[in-house]
Amino acid sequence: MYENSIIIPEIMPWIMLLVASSGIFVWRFLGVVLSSKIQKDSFFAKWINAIAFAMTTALMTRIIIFPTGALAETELIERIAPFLIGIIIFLFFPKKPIFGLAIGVLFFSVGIFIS
Amino acid sequence: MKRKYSPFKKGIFTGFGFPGIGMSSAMFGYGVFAAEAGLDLYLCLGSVLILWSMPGMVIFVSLFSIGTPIFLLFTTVLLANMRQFFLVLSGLTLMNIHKHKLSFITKLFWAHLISPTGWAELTKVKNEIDEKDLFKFFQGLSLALVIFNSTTTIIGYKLYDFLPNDIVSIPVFIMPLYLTILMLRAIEIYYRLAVVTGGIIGPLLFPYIGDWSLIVAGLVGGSVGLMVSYLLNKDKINV
Repeated sequence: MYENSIIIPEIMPWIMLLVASSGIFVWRFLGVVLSSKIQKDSFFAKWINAIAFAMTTALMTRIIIFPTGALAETELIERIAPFLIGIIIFLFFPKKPIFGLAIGVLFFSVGIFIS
Repeated sequence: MKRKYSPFKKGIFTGFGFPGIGMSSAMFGYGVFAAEAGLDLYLCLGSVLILWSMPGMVIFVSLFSIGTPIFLLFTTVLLANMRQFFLVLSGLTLMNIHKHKLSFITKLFWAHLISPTGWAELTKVKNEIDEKDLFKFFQGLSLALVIFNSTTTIIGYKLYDFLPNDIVSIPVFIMPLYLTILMLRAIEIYYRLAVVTGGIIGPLLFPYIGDWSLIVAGLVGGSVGLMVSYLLNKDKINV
């Protein structure tokens, strides 16, 4: 893979890992630096929280619709239908979120076994 | 009578409960994915602990296995992980971490452990635990998540040869459903609006702008949520 590199091939994967981690570290570093300048109950803090909420959900729905790895081996309908069923059940029983999760996972499991 | 645990213990129990199961299921899938890509076990586990970000880990394995140049690897991980900035900013502000007497390196260490799961749990318990105790809760939660996730990554890696993909996909499905439900449990209306808007916009934009869709969905969803909530409150005051 990296046989032609001047660096010892055994170390190369770890160097690649450190390079990848520095790509994430940049954002975490900036987050720590800038968080000291934000008041907890300010409008800006609420905005940042709302962005994090929206972004996290966007990531989760993306995993369902455009998955990678093992989930990508299943059909779109096999993922979307149980996901929506789980959410709807949760909306009916908001105090018992476990219902939505359990029924969603159950439907998904049954769906892939049937297919 | 319901027993009252210290914030640290509560964090540990939470980490080994459903949030941990959801996140570690994804890590289990990652273990299988890393084994399939040909990583050795130490590198697989190292990538979990050093990156602690699923998109970063998946990109690392995908690009590493095809021998991508270092600069491209750095740029791809950098662009795909801007969300970490918002999670860290939000998480540290929620915990009011600057009130605790911690060195910059220590703050950076805890910022490293802020994952979507950890952050989501923080938003969930912020109304149940005193603000000064949130950091202790997060420490317990992180400890449990690190132990739980490392273990399931190793199990996934070791079971790669035995498990069919269909079975592996079941635990991997848990995390997105669990976190979406957790997001929808937010009490404030602007967070709920942000969740719905972001959840719809993100996948719609993904085919066109790739990982940037998360940032755009976050910015639009967060802004729409706050704006609509502001307008609704304004109307109520006018009435």
